[in-house]
Amino acid sequence: MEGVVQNLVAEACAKHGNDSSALLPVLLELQERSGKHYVSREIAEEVARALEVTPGQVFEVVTYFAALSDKPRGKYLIQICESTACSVVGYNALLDWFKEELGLEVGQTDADGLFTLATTHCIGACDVAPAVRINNEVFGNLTREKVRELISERRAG
Amino acid sequence: MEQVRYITEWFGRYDGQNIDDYIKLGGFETVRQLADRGIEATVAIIAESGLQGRGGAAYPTGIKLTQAREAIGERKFVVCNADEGEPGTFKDRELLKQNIYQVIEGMIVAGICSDAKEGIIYIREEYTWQHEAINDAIRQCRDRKVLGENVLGTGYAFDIRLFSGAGAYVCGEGFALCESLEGKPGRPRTKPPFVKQAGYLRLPTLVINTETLSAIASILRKGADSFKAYGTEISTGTKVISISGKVNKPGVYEIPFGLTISEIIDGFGGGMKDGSKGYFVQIGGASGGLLPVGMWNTRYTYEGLEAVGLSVGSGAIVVADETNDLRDYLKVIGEFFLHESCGKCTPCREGNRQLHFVLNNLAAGTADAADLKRYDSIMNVMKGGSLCGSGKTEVVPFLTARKYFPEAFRLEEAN
Amino acid sequence: MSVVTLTIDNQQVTVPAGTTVLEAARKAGVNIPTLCYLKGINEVGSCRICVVEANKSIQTACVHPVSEGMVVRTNTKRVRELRKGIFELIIANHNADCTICARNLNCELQRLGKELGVETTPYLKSYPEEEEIVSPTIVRDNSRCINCGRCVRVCDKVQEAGVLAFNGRSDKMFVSTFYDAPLEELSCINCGQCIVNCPVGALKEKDQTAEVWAVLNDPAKYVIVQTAPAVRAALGEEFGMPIGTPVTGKMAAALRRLGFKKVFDTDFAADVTIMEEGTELLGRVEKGGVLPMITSCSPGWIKFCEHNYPDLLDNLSTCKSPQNMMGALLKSHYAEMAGINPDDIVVVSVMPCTAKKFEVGREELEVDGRRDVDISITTRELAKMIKQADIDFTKLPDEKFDEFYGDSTGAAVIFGVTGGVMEAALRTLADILSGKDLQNVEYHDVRGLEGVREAEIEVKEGLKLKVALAHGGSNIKKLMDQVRSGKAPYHFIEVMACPGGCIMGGGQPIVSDQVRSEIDVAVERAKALYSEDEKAAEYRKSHQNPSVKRLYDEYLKEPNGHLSHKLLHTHYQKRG
Repeated sequence: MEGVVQNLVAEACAKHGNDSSALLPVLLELQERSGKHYVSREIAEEVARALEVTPGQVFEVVTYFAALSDKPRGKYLIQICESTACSVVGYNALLDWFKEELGLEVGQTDADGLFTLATTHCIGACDVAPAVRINNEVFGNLTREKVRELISERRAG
Repeated sequence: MEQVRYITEWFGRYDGQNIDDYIKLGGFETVRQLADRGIEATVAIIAESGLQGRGGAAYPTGIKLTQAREAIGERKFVVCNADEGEPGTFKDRELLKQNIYQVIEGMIVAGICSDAKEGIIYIREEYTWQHEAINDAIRQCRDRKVLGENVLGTGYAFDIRLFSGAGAYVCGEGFALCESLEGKPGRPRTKPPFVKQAGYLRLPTLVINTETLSAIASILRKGADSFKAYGTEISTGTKVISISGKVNKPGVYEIPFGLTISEIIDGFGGGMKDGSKGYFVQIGGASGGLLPVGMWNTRYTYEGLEAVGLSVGSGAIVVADETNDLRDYLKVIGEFFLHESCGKCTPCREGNRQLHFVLNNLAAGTADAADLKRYDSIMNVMKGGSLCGSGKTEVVPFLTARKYFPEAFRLEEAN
Repeated sequence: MSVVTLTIDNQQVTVPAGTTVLEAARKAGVNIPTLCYLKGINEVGSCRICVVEANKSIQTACVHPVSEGMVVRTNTKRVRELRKGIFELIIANHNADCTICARNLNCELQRLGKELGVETTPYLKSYPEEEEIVSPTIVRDNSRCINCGRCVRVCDKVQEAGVLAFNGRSDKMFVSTFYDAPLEELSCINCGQCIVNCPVGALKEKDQTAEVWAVLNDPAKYVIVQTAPAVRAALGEEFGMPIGTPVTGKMAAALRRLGFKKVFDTDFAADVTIMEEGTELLGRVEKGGVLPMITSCSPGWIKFCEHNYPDLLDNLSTCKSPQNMMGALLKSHYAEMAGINPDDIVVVSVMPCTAKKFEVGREELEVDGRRDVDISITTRELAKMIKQADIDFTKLPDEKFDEFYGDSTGAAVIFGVTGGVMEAALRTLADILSGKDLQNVEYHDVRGLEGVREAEIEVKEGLKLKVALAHGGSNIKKLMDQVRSGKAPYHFIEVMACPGGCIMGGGQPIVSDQVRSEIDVAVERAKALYSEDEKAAEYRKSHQNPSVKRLYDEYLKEPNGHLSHKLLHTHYQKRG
């Protein structure tokens, strides 16, 4: 198991340059590959070793940046924008739809580890507000029907 | 109203991805011209055009390039600031998507003019979906020797890499950006020294907005006079704006400086959504000022907005109508900054923490006189005492709200 | 060097270019309040309390460089109001139940409030619930933390332990650890430098005074106390005495009044350490053992080595620290001599150190299943006990330590300052190797506060001992990296975890940055120890300690002998 982590980290470090400047891209990539949108303590320790920074620095970065997480999240990270433009056109309704469809409150992950419902600040999709980001895709101009579709498509895999 | 097609001239003229199509349109000509024209003459054209930094600080680009050239360091960097974090702003998204090569062209020019050989496109994490296309564009540039040891045979070396942020508004600030490039939390440093002298890796770093870079390429292609033909004497040229909120046609538009807010909303935004009645706009992002409908005849220029306590900022215009409550809106802004403050300095960290309590009360209709006193004190401390520009400018929406929207601060009788 | 002339509150000041406004103002005698600032360590301008007007714009004095003709105003209405506003925000997020805080009356925030004349805050209390996060040595409490970052910087840059960090951001930003793990799971060396650099009560030692009181009140226990050299150089500060006042006699008197059956001196064991360590060194030099040999007195350093240089553990002297040698001897030789069942003996040590609390719990140090030392308290905790007992410390008579285990030499007392162990060793080695009673006992080459030092000492004709010293984590790393590379030409290295040595240990009285800007605390405390050394006119060399001689003659037989190895030596563990 340890070897797997080592290889994974070594690969990411090799891709982004083996120095502390590569910390952010390395962590983003490893988080992406975790399948759970998080950086585990084990991974963080290995990254610190590989990039020759203190474990403390890795954790500082993981906890500072909103895109990174030290705790596991769902396979699909659903982030509803609650910023200015989306608030003006009523992101609340969108949030309620997702809550109801998923049966989750903000910050919760479902039992299967499939969905995490979260809110986020501006994702630069104000022209299609209210907008939602699911992993790296952005969806806007949503209706309840489309929300249902987005979820069922992902449930189906 | 017809859009100006100056910076966005080639939007839609090619797929935004094929470098050969870009070159056919005349792309990268300004880099070749630079070799003949010389650096000083090139910078002089930019200075002459009156272009100001489009990220929000509005620093004259000509001076910025000159200072970047003067900075001394064994390595120098040009960072294209595509961190576009101001809520309501999505114009860089389009500049990258529809004409990435023009941004790259601007970077190459800025690099050569400032004697930097390394370029970094710092893109916000929220635009991860664009990474592949940008990396592909960089690859095509290298294949065509547009980037590399000998850029287009000019003898200059310049290369670019893409770097993704990780979700931190403050990283739009130069120092915070540099810190995150170095693999640290994005917290601003104190000045001096400045980013231009000691930024990324404590080396001279020119951090410059995506739109500014795009404009540099356009201006060099068409001449300073053509740019100055738009706008006013102080606010020359065009601005790429992002309109959103309660309008019929939210989107990215290139406009000449000098129109009124009403003209922009009606002429480009397609008018108020379903004919609703306007209430306020926020101009320039989360740290931008709020303007009531009665003042929408204000001209959208640096000087016009400054006169009423606002600024162009990032070029965002978020429009609200009468169904929106300003107090709810202020709470949203407050939550944004509470989430995004880096936490380093007292005024911004503690100010936002306390402001949050006040804004909650205000939105709930339970605010009392002490809350308003706190509101005002927090603004004073944040404006005067914050470490970086983010904390200092955060007060703008709250101060303009206080000034132009007395109704939002009228306390309920019960309180 | 180019200089800059500027005006501060209408006074002209000329300072070197690059000086900060704060330093220039201090030079001009103008006080500017600070909070997060720690000279040379934390110069980040984050708390913002030191704002001034520099050429009419607001700047933080602690980081803003002076420029020619600059006009600085430190006391305008704008500045005063801003400072007040900033302070009000800080205090709203600080658990200011001052009367029940460890730092009551020695708190930089408290002092600042008084200085600014702020007696209320308009803001809502917003700090987190009080929650003490306890490690074997250090207790953290985020309800009192003001996010100044001093501990973070000291841990990261000065000690290079890199354990404390600012995690999270904005209102969720807290000083914490890697994945919020307990300190004892991490590479924390328990040095306590975070504590002595904290301006408020967010960090403190794990208080064990109650445990000491409990054993003192237990008639079945025979409670013996031992005090480390550095304690006497600083304890007086807790009672308002000037920094650098040696209080050996009053300390002994106070301990007796607290009820300790015997008041002994760790200095005795320091002399024993020299016998053991000196012999070990000579053995390694003669028999081709692992060199350089490195001292092992500092438990912070030992843990630092175990984490960061696990490959170099064989370079460490196998000697236990004086604290533990003392404990081991008290529960064996002394117990036998005094006819006391060792199981009835409780050894309490008073140390300038928080890492000693961890050290006493190391299982590998136990002899016959017994811990050498039962409870280790800091200088601060002793002061607290003296205050709890209402003893008027400054009026106490000077008393002596109890006989035999209270006997020591001048060589032992300087163990408390960087270079002291080295100098003590040299005094003895030179005598042994030359076979003479050398008159020149002061080795000034190894004194001083330079972070890494080296010297070459001719200990006898034809034999030059190459020695080096380092104190403070970052300095230690410089030296140890050299050792690791195999390029260190030294025979003997002294390492102390804390910058300055034990006199500046994490268990010592806390001195505010304001005082530190006027007084070099390390220099003053070092003077106190050197003066004690000079006063010990009769014996200034460890091997001359008559009681130590008797210990060897009658009990241990010889240094590094069989019994010594059982009682006084140990081994280390790789921690990675």
